[in-house]
Amino acid sequence: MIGLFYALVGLGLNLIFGVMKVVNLAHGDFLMLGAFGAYVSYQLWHINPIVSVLIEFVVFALLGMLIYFGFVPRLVQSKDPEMLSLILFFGVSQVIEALATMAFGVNPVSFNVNMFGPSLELFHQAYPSYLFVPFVVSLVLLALMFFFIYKTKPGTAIRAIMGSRDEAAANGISIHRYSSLAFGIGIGLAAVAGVFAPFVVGGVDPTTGTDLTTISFAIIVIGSLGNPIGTIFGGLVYGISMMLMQTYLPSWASIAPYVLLILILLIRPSGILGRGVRHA
Amino acid sequence: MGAFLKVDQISKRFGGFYAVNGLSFELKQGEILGLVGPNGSGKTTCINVLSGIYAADGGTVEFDGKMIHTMPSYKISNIGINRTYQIPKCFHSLTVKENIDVALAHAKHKPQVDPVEFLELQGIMGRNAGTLNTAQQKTLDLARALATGPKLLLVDELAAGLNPEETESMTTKLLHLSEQGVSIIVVEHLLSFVHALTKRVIVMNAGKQIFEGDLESASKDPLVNQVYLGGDAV
Repeated sequence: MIGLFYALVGLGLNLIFGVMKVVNLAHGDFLMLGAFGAYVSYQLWHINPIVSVLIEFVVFALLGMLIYFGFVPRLVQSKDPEMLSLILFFGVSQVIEALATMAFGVNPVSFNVNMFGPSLELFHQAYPSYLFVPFVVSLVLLALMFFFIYKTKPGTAIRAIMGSRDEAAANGISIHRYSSLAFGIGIGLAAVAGVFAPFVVGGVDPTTGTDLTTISFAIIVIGSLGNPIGTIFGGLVYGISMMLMQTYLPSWASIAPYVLLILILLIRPSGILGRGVRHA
Repeated sequence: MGAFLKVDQISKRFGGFYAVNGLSFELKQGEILGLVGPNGSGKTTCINVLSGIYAADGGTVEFDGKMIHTMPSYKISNIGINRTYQIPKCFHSLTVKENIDVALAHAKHKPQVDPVEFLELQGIMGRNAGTLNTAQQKTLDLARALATGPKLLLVDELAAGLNPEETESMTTKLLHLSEQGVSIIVVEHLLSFVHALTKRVIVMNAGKQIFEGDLESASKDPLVNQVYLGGDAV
């Protein structure tokens, strides 16, 4: 169940990397901001986190588009945009973390896990609502994202840019218009995943962003860098391996996904769903 | 008939090196122009400037009455100039059909021909572009360009890697497009392919035009002989 939530955690990062070849090291920090956004909205205005999903997606998507036009066009013109983006977004991550610490303090925040009601029983199995709600929201958002990416004209344009920027431009596709859209959606998805982070990963504080970035990287590398379907697979593998380890070897649980990540990088560096292509 | 494309003194510099240096030429609607020259003479850079991949450092380009030398490549595609690449840049993870559909979805002009039927791609529509061989990828690249309904088509080393039958078939197809009113600039090393397509070629060397005329006259030109064969002019 939490595998789909982790897929949502990684999807925004993979979308941004796939389209722009930009490594957003601040991805986890946007998740953290999403968590704080939902927490503050609930504390101040009693806005249900499910409603926060819609608000935060729009707000963070717009913020993402602003960040795109501020940084990314210059980055992608450089000789090594991936390395430069690593350094730049590491700096952005540090700034966000510092600002969040100043704004929210260092103590972790969490929600009342019973706020979505009692556990649900399906097929003679009880599912805690604080995990079931993130599962349903993740399922709906992933389905919407896949409809968007694979069935709409902007989605086709984004996939085309993922394939080849030059070829996409030769098809009349405005690279910056659709890249900014993808960047905004990527940041919006991060914030939305962040809304449920306090329920799934526990208390969130300003330093949690770094951990969430690492988890996101594990997920997208397990699936395949730049492959949205691979992200779902990576999320499921990550979620299942975490649950298994927490059940049978709880003291090793936190390192298991990273061991899995190292093994996959050694055995199949393109990710489990990555595949080779024939170049002319 | 007046000039459809007017290239006036365009230059492209990389650091201190001029890849294209003051190149000028004109092209009529439906005309085919061969752009030939040794490696590094600036042919592909010229195509890259015309298609908006590179911004020109100097000079102007006027196409169908519009100045286009400052336009980004997607706008140039939208006004009716499209190109193929020396090394095809198909969307490898998409099928042949999806590759063509992307172009059709964003095209601003109706294609002059059905690219699938015209280039006989029916048998490979479901295959991923990344699994195609070189000739198939080049054909797909051309199909993608034709799907945007170009009024000016820039083809870069299209015949390289094609067998004689494929080259002959491609010649027939390009001539048909020209009859449909599509202007074509052909960058090519395979001179027999250029010869079959057009009587008008520009020979480039070190970013400059050194000859304009037909291929037969070019082969007798002392300067052309010098840059192709080396040594003293004959």
